[in-house]
Amino acid sequence: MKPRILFAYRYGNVGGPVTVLMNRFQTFSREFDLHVMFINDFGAVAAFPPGVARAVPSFADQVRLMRELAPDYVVVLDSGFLTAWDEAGSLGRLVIEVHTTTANLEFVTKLSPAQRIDLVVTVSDSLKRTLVERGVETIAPVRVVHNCLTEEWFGPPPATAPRADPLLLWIGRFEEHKRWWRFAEICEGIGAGFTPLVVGSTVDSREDTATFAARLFDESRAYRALWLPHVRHDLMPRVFAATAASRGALVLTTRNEGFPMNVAEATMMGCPVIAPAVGPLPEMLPADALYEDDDWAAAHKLVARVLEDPSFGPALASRAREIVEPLVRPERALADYEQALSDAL
Amino acid sequence: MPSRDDDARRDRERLDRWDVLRDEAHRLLKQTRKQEASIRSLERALEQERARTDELQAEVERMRASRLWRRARRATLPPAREPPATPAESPRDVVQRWLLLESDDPAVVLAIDPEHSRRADVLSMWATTALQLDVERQVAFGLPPALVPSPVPAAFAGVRRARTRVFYALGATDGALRWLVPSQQEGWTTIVDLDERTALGPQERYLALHADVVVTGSEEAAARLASTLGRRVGVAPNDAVAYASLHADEKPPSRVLLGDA
Repeated sequence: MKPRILFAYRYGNVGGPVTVLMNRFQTFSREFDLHVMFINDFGAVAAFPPGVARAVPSFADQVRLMRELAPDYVVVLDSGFLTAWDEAGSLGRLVIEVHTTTANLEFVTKLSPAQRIDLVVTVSDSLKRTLVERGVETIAPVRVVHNCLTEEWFGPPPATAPRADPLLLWIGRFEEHKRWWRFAEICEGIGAGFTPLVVGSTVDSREDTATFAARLFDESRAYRALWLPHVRHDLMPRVFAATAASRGALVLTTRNEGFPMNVAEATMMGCPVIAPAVGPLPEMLPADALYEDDDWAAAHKLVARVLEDPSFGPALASRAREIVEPLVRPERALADYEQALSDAL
Repeated sequence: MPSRDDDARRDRERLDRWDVLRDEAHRLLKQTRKQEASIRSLERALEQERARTDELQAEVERMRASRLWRRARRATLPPAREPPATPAESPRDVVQRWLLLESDDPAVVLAIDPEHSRRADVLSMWATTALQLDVERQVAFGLPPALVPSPVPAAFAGVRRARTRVFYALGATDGALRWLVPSQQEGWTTIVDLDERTALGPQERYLALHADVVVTGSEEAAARLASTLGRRVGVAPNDAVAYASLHADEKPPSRVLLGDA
């Protein structure tokens, strides 16, 4: 009988850790009996085959489900569920997966050394270093398992309509740590001859959305921006492929990341990525694709070089692929996960 | 000198001791959590009792005052009654209502702000066009309020059986900004209706550049907007626009990029 894993995550909306679970599902199901629980469902339950994922909003339901499934491993993604696990009888082994890099990471410093945690899994070497610095390794061993992509991302990119000008792509919510306004500054600095393409977000505040639209669509702009507040996940390969085909690039302006899926996805679709040298990005991209954090002149220069030199972007994309492809293979994620469980337990 | 066996035995003992101590610590942690929960529960109960006592005290004071007042006025007055509050429709209800639209099979589903002052004009337009829609029976309305985070894309995908699905943005509302492009990905035709008296701001510009069809209130305004935007702008309401909206020949860049749903 396959060992049973119950993944528990607070937010059941597709994206972030939910996408990680969806990507793992097919491969991990070969070796594990997989189950998923969310506190609130915003469409994520339906993203899994029937019976795999459930919404359990109440504490009593969480305890009931844990008792009913009696999993061999309970894997909590980021925070929550520890009291429910205790109440259910501390069944199986407890694994904490750390994906977040935002202020929410504070939860790790609040973990009690007396809490029985059998293993901590995280998604990049840089995040592991952060966890070790915060003393997590004194509570449980910390192992790295990179996020993976599904098989479709390893095939050829989809055909896209030809474009006259390159696309400069930026993806994300209008959160402070993503620094979308830096992307706007880069675009304003370049001026014309390209199209800024922003993907996200439908979930930010009315004020943030209005501020963003006012900045990007001001009549003084020499470019005509495209803004897709939401793109279905199955359509994202087109976005990356169109950017690559247009001789454009994905531009990141973030302060930090766990293991950004959009970098992995863009790379697999042949789309060059320009990013700050923060968090795991130096683990994923060649040095030529990186600028020092907060050095916006360097960021501008790199982006301008992609637009001016037709060979630079494809060369970056090809070198990034050599790094990223082996990291994001689903069979590698499965092997690393099994190894982490076996080493630690 | 300690032998290798001695070292291995000590390691085993240390590991066993670690396991025993960790289990003991975990047991104590669980006990502490339970006691903390009991304390929190008692504190809540105490707080509720205090609040109830305050309420009763206030009620006694009110009754005393009322008695004194009635005595003084020698009149009795019926207590004023608050009208019952109408419960607001929850986001889940709105989505549910959308999904139920399938069974009614309307000819057109319009995603439009139900509170918008020009809603009646748009209804009337759809009733009087060449489509000759029976507004009561064949046109359904509703734009879910801003939901964070949101099942709205699933709702767009869910309304499948309507003959025509139109996302009709009356000006640059918050809902229009968020949901016009996502509705396109689920096969909805998107129309933005710009008020001829309002200046073309960045948000209107965004909608006008991404919608399948742009309309406004007069020929003059349409010509002005068309020159600013560099795309065709129709005049609403009229039959031609209604038809044009259903058979848009000019694809916005968002559709070109993602392909037709």
